[in-house]
Formats: sequence, structure tokens, C-alpha cells
Amino acid sequence: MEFKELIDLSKIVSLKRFTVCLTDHNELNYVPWLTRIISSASDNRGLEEIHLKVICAGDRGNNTWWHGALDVLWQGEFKSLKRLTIFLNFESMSVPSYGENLYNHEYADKLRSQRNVAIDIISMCNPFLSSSRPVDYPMFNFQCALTLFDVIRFEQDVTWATPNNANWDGWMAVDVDSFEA
Amino acid sequence: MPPVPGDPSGIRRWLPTDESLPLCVPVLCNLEALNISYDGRWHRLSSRVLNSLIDLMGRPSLVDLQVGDHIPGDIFNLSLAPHVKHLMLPHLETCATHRLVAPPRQPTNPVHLESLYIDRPFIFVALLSAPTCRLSISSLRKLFVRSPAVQEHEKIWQLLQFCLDTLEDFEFNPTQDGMLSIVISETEVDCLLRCSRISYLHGI
Repeated sequence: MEFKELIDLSKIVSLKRFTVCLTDHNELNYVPWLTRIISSASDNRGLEEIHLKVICAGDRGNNTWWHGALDVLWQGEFKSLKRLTIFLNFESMSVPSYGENLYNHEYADKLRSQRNVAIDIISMCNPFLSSSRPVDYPMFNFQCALTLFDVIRFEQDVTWATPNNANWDGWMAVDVDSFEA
Repeated sequence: MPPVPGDPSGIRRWLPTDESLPLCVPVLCNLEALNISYDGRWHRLSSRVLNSLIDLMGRPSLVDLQVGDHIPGDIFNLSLAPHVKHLMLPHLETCATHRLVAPPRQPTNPVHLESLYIDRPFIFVALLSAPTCRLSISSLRKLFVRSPAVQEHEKIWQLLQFCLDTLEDFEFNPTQDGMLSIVISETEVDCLLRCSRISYLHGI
């Protein structure tokens, strides 16, 4: 697959906020391309906010398909970045490997503590109520998240995620509004 | 309820033959926001209803416009109000209405958008490129693009070229099917350009 034109965010001089959705379909081609777009944002001098929406992060066999994009966020310069928000579905909160990448990552801690970037994790569902995973998984990750991130918020927003997946029992059970770590 | 004759979907839609809307339009003098949600074909609208919608979309007081379903590009371009700042246009159509006659006056004033939501960037780029297009995104501050086809991403970059100095907020949603290699028909784009050049609507 060839992409004729890369969306080069470094050239949008007025850009303050960039939001992108990542999906896992055709991950071999598409996610690296989106990763290049995110990477181009690191050369933007005025970008203050990045919002990364990860869809179906836990629905496929390869659970690390989106980590490349995450690594770009951790390692990029992003000189003017003030806020990084990562939206996840509940599966993403409920697998230990995600927690290792998200919550215990040295780059995330560096962004937050040394460069004063606020990092929010927003789960689209209540991870405690997932019946498809052992309950200790989300609890483990949630405890890790509390130690590293500024805000964890549970939202139910159907405007970008997939609402018609019958296996997403979490959609039916959101009862936690907001946590301040 | 029996199906509407001539409607292949068999769904009875009230809007095409509605008689109340034309009566309401004159009293909406200071309309600032309009959301049209009609999932039928625009060429099935009666002349009175079509003209009512065109009238509403052209109101000078209108700032916020959302047309949720498939509006033909020629109708949209001609009826767009001069002071619209915020536009949601997820389903712009390339097809013409096939009801084209010379209007009493053709609007030429540019419409400078501040925020834009679109679903099919290749159609929108074609609309912008048409010689009679009144839309301007040179001062755009917010852009939301949903794109179901990889081939459209080149068009997204073309859109961004118009507003490199003003855009503050850019959201890109490739959608779950974003990586499908959908072949975009060049004839669709050609059709839109041709319609925009004609730019005449019946009964304005």
C-alpha cells in the first residue's frame, strides 16, 4: 500500500490540538502510516494537545499493534505539549501487557514529571465490570494508572467507538464517573 | 402504511410532500442554526419543499449549518448562507438534481468557514476546486475529517494546504474501515465539477 501524500502536521503552524483514531484493522500497513503522522506532530512548535483514540485495542490476537504509535508519543520531542489524552476501550484496560506499556513506561513518567505534560487516560467503559477478563487484571492496571497519571475518567461516548458489538458488556454497565489520582 | 409510489425503498417519508414547512419558513426570520436530517433523495422533494429548504439554508442570519444526509452538491453550493461559520456536511453528494433552470440571481459571495466537519474529503475538495464554489476554508480553525478510504488521504492533505496558517484543531478519524482500498470513481468527481459549473436550480 502506498500513501501518496503524508499529512505533515509540522507544517500546520497554527495547530494547537490534534486528535486521531487508531483502529487495528490491517495493522501492518495502516498503523505505521498513522504513526508517521503522529511523528510529524513532534516537529510542530505550537502543538499543545494530542488526543489518541485507540479502538478495539483488545479485540484482536495481536494486542500490541498500537504500541508503535504510543512509543512515538513517549519518545517524540513535542516541545510545546501540555496535555496528552489516551482514550481506550475497556479491553485495553484489562490486559496486563497494556498496563506494562502504558502505566509503567519510563517515557510516560518522564513526560509527566520532567516536562510537566498532563496525561489523561479515558476508558470508554468501566474496566471493573468486564466479564470477559479476570477481574484482577483491570484492578492491577487501574492501581498502576493511579500512581502515574493525572486524571482517569470513565466515559461512555458512542460517537467514535463501536457501539454495536454485543460482546462489549461494559457498554451496559458504566457507573463510575470520574477519578482524580 | 402503504409504500410511496416510485420510492424504491418503500419507506413513506413525509418531507417530500409536506405542506407545513413552506408555511413555517417565512416566520423564521432570525434563524441562526439549522440541522436538516433527511435520508431520502433530494430530487424527490416537491418544488415547494425544496425551495423552503434552500430558503432556510440561505438565511443571512444563519451561522451554524448541519446537513446530515445526502445533499446534492449543486443545491448546497447555491443555497449556502453568506455568514455560515460552522458547517457539518458528512454526506455531500456528487449527483445533480436534474431540475436545473436559470435562477433569477446566482449568489457569488464567498462563505468563510471557521469549523468544518466532513465525511468524504474527495468530494469536498472537488467542490472547493469548482470555479463557482463559494466556500472558503482559508481561515478555518477546526477541521474534523472522517475518511473511509485510504485513497482519500491525499485529499485531506490538499484540504489542509488551504488553512496551514489558521487551523488550530484537527481531528482525523480513519474509521474502522479506513484502510480498505476503496477505489474512488473519478467520474463521481467529474460529475460534481460539471454540476457546479452549471449551478442553476429550478424555481429559486
